[in-house]
Amino acid sequence: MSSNLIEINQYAWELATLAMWKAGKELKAYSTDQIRRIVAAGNSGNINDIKNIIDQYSPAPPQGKKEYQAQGEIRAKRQKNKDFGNNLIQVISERDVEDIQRLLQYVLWNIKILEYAYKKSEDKFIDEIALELDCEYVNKEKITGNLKQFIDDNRRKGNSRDKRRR
Amino acid sequence: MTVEFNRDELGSIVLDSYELMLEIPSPNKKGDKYEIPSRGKLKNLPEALREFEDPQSAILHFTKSASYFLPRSDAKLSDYLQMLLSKVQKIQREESDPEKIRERIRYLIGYSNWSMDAVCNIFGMSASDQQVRERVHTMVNAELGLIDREKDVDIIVDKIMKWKSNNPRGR
Repeated sequence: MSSNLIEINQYAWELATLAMWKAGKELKAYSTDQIRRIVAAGNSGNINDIKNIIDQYSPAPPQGKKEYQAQGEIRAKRQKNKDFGNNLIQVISERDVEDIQRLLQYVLWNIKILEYAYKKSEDKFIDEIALELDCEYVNKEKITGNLKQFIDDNRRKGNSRDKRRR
Repeated sequence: MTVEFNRDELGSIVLDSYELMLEIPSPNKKGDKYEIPSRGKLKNLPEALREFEDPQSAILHFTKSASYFLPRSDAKLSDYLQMLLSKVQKIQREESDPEKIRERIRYLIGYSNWSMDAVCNIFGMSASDQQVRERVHTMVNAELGLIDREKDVDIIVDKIMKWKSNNPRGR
């Protein structure tokens, strides 16, 4: 069982990093509601239910914006959902219901752990997550690498936005 | 399965358990009693260690559920969580047998929780800080005497007194 749970958890961390989204000063899931819908669909263990939820995702524009004003963000969230969904389907194919449920529970918990660590420590949160990963027997290089890349990409985007404003 | 600890291992568990307890937010005084905020969450921590029979799976699940649930119940528990994770990592580095790692973690949390309740009782039952100090000293001295660590008694007692007075900088 240990190698099985350790493997499931490794995937759950990789998937959680794929779901992260930078919104202002916050790091959070691209859509917590969508993740919760996927988790709920996973309870049946029917992969087609999960596929449908992923395919039907249609993000609303952020509060105070019309759809045409938020097209870039909506497009980016759709892409996130697609990448996350494709990876998820690949991981859960041919797994039993119990494993799928545990994997999705851990994905959701990992997202919340990432959100909280970032809120507390901002860009230094990766050190805290690395400690967590060590304790959970996770092969951490891929996870911390994804997070570093994500933070760097967002920093670059932020810098170029600042330049345009000037 | 019975896991036995040698004197050094037991000493390490006891000292680490006090270090861990001192990262719990200081108790609040309510009437004559001292209460730890989120005491219920801390007391429930060992349950996650029992979720899986396999020790590595249990440790994994315990770590994750502590990281998920503790900050959500009380943001002030984040220092405690960091200390807990660093202690788990230390045990994993010192010990290779997963069953023994699980047992060391179980005793670490168990002792920390017992100490938390014991010192809060002493705080509530004592008439003055001097009496608190004497009683805490007697308790810690009795424990540490069994593992030949009497030299650490005064340091731990001082830290507990600072913890009582809600002075985080004094740790």
